[in-house]
Amino acid sequence: MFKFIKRILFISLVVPGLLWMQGCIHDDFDEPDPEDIPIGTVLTLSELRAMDVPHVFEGDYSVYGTVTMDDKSGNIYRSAFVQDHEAAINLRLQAPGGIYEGDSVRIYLKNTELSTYQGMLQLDNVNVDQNIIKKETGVVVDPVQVSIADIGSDMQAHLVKLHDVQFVEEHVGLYFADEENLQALNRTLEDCHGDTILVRTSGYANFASEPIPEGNGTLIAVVTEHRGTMQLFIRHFHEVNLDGDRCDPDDDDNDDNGEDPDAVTSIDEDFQGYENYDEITANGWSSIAETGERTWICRTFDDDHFAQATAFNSNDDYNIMWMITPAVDLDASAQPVLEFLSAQAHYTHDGFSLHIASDFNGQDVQDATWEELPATLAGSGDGQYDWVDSGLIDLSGYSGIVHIAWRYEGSDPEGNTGTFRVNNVRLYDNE
Amino acid sequence: MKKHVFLTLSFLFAAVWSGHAQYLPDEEADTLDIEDRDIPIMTISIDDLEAEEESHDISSLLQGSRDIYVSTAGFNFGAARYRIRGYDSENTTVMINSIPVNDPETGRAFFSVWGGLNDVTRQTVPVHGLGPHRQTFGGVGGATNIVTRASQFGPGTRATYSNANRTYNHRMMFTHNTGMQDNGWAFTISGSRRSAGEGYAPGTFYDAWGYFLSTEREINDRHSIGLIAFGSPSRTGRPGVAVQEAYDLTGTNYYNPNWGYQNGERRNARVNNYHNPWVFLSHYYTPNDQTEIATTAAYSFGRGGSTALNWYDSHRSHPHPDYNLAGDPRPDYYRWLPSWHQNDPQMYGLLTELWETGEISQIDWDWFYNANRRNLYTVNNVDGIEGNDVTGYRSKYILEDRRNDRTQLTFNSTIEHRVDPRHTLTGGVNVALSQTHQFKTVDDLLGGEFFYDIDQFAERDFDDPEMAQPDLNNPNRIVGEGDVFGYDFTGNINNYSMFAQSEWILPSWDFYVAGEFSHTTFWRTGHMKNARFPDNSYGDSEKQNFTNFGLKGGATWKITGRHYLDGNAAYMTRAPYFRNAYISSRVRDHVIEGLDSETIFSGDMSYIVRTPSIKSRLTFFYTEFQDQTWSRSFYHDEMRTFVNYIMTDVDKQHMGAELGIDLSLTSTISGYIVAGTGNYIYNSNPEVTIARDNDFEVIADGRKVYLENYKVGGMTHTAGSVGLRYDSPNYWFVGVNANYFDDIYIDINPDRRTAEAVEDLVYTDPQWNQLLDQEKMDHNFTFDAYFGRSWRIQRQYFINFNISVSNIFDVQDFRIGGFEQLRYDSQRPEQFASKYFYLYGRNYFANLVFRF
Repeated sequence: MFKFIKRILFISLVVPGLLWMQGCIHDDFDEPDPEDIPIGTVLTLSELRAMDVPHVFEGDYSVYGTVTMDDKSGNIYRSAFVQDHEAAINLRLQAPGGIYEGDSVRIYLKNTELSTYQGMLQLDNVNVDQNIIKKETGVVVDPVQVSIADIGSDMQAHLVKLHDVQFVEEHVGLYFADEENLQALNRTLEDCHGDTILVRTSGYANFASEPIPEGNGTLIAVVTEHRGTMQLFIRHFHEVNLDGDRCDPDDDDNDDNGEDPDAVTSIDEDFQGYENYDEITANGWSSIAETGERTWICRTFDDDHFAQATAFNSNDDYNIMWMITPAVDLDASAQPVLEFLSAQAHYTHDGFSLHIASDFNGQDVQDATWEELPATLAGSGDGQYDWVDSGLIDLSGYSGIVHIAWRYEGSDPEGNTGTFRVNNVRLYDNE
Repeated sequence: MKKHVFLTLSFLFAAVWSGHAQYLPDEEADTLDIEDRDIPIMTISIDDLEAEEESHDISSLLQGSRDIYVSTAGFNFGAARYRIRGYDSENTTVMINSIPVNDPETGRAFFSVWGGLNDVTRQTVPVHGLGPHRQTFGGVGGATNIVTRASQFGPGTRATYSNANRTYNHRMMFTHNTGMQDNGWAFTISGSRRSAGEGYAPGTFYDAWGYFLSTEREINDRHSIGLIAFGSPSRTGRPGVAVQEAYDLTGTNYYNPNWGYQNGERRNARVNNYHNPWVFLSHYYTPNDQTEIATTAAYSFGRGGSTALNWYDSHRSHPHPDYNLAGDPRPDYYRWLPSWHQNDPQMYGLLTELWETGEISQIDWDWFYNANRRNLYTVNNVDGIEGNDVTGYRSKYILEDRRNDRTQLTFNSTIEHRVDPRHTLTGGVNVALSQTHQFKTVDDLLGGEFFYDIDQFAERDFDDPEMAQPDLNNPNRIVGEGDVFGYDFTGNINNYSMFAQSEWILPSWDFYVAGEFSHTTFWRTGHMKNARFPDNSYGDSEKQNFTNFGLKGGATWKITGRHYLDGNAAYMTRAPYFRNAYISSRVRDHVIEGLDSETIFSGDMSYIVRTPSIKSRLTFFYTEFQDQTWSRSFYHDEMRTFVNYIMTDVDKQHMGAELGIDLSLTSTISGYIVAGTGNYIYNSNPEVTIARDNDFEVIADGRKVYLENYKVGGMTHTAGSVGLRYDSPNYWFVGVNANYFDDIYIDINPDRRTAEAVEDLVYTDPQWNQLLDQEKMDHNFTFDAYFGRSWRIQRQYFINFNISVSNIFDVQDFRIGGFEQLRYDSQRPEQFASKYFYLYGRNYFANLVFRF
């Protein structure tokens, strides 16, 4: 019995010990108090659009709107469109998804940036977790009924519905986009008056491999603008209802062949006229993003200015970018030759090539027939940033109006991020 | 019929060969000695160093051995990921009361099953490597039986308090044994508690209990029955493993990405939570003085699993105006490291600053709550009911509990019969029927109202939204805390085995021979009808059957009473483990192509010297594992989906030497020298199949992996130790030892050793060697010391105190292992750097024991 009591006493020492050990374990956590995001100054989307750009919001501001298109279909990426009763805007998100069509939201503007990209106004650097407060779901926004001729810059980001439209005959039966190579493509939509507009579709869109329908009917899409060209983005394939009889638009203003009055006869471009980060678009040159949003831009090193393309740190899944000379009239030279310097850095892949086309219309790079030109280009064997002479490239086999293009292809997610540079482009008569 | 053949065969062998004596002496070491020697061993749980996704815990070496090499390997080398002969724990059979407790799904023995019950798991019958074992055939790593019969514990009471700065800080244990009493009853009870608010690694905690009850009733001279029940519920926060860049940025090689602040308190996202109780009902029968039969029915049940973050459309970011990154909520995701932004000096600088100030280096729990509380969402047609739309706050971030609940019923009977004093026959049958239920539940909605159960990878990969349904029987499910989601299936594994062994002890020779025959059947039972595999996910799959056998034998030549030569050989086949057998067992029942048993053969040769002042053993061993299967599932960032990477015909060769010398220099001073070295290499160029988790598509088939001659990574191949110890006649002792570690190799990513990985490279490219070379970690020294004292009070109370300090000089840059990430960029191999484990810096374990 005595032994028993002793053991009871012993155990009574153990219990407080156990309680003390229990006390040091933290395994039950209080939920944090809800974070209150201040409303601050309320702007309408029209007021927002009227602000000077670029503008980074620092104080407390909010705008309200309803999401008309999200990026779940894959046709847009890290992006959404929001609309209120009179205006709309494109949101560029820090990460994909998180905000869905039909969400009625308050957008808290702190740390976002209002800017334009290639002529399109956008609210950039939006973090859905931080900047979006969802008020309601399933809100339906009716599209504005418009005709192609109505669509201009003032319609940016609007959800629209077009009646009596059809795709141009040469695009019927083609795919909306190149799903295999994940490349975006433009298709031309026309109405019965002969007005046209581009329908641009990402190679990631879940309807990219659908064939372009033949018929005439209605189409719902969101309006965007790219370098002065209006474009439409389809949000759901089921909103493309083109199954009626085609109409025959009066074809009277489609004559774009013939002499280009702006054609040059020689080129001598050292890019010194551009500032760091300028797009190469002066003097008739153009920089076009075929896939993604990156373009050829001017970069500088010491006092040297040159054109550069890279997919490194790109926000795009894939980049194809073209730098294209002004139209050149080769007939003006007896022995036309091309010469330039190129360089590479952080070599990852052979994404750089030189092309010539005689049917480039100045805008639709995909529609032109580009022929690759042989040239000595900077590659893996060359030192970083070392300029490599292309050698004299004989163009006497070509005639008429041509464009010369440097094409860059790369992808940050795939690790194809090597950088290429071009400088001292000279096209002249070597007679 | 098969059984018949086996019986005939095994007894034939038994008749030809027999006999063997353990070369280890049976003399009982004094209590004090056992006391201090096993204390460090029982505290080593390597689970905190183990970070591979699948395994939560690996078995600790069992204490109780008196082989100086084995005990030093466990005590001094274990923390540096040294494994005896380079074996994983599936090669050692761990038994409790003669019942194997290795996990049937993976073959591994999990220390967590009996964690904290040190007082009652101290008596073991171990065989290290090859040798005769009377309860089982065992693996090439040997077998250990933990004796838990109440009658085997001497009467007494024991209370222990321990204090440490390792995985836990405090431990209390209480054990009381009655011994076999006059009334024919024996009882043992034991309980333990281990805890830590924060263990050695930041953000880890430890919350574990242990209970044990053993009772035995002696019915008469011939019959006893026993009932044993025990369990070790434990919840522990996991440490992490990271790339060196993260360690450097945070200033510590123990950086743990698993925790973050919630409301100002540290919370760990990876919490292991295990509780697998066992109950044994045993019958001990001694029909005559030469024969013992022990029969046990055992049942194990409970839960296992660990939590992890899950997320949908994560936008985790940081509210800094220049910070424009968002996505994966894990802080050490590669895109959140400065190195990913090397060519953007501004971002590089900002990230470096935010990491160094700790602002983005840990999980941001408050962010999850805030985002979940704003994510208003409508799920349409919930449960497949048209018009049943539910609107609420949908959790974007949750904590999920990945469960692995095992239920096992085992029947085991062993017989031991002494034919004559020189000849002993043993044998046994074992039936183990197990079911491992694997599923996920929502552990914490983190402020949201529900979680929407859809497969986001399928949602992204397929245009048809139906394909994202994990369970077509319950479409459009919304789940709350505790609800099952994602996947749900049971692995059924039935194993039937029998073994027989014959040992002969002759004047100058001992022999033994043993054989085993087993049959394994396993199949998958799906509880969800996955939309991507509607015909291969729900219900019972086809059964896979494997028949296996093993043979081993050995001899000891007792040259003199002081010199022995011992040799053993074994050949066996082993059924593939359920865990490796399926392409993607979570969602479908397709087994991998060419699924077959592996073959193992092994041999060792030892020279043993035993004199009053020297006990030494020198062993050479050679083992080959053939036709193993290696399978991993991982998220393929480029393909944006889960892939299954499966290699078959993986061969490994383990060879090496072990040396242990135990010296008694004077009556008070003793010392030891221990060394082990091995060359553990891959011995084949297996073929790999890479399959998408999402559909039937096989991305790569028959791709050859040039693994041959690469080292088996993730463990230390060479280790040595010398120690000195002084035992005072006045009941205290002190000791020091020095340890050396070498040949530590990184665990390689097989895909980097394919022709496809280097196809865009030429031999002279720097990336060529970067991709193909296997990193060898630096060798290192560590020093340990220990001290102990015991007191006897009133002739009936004993107090023991001891303390051991490991890594006295606080070496914090000792890489004890690491692995290459499965993602890699062949053009820039440094972009996805290897992740490393580091040895704990200076750490101690102190122990106070009160016995009466």
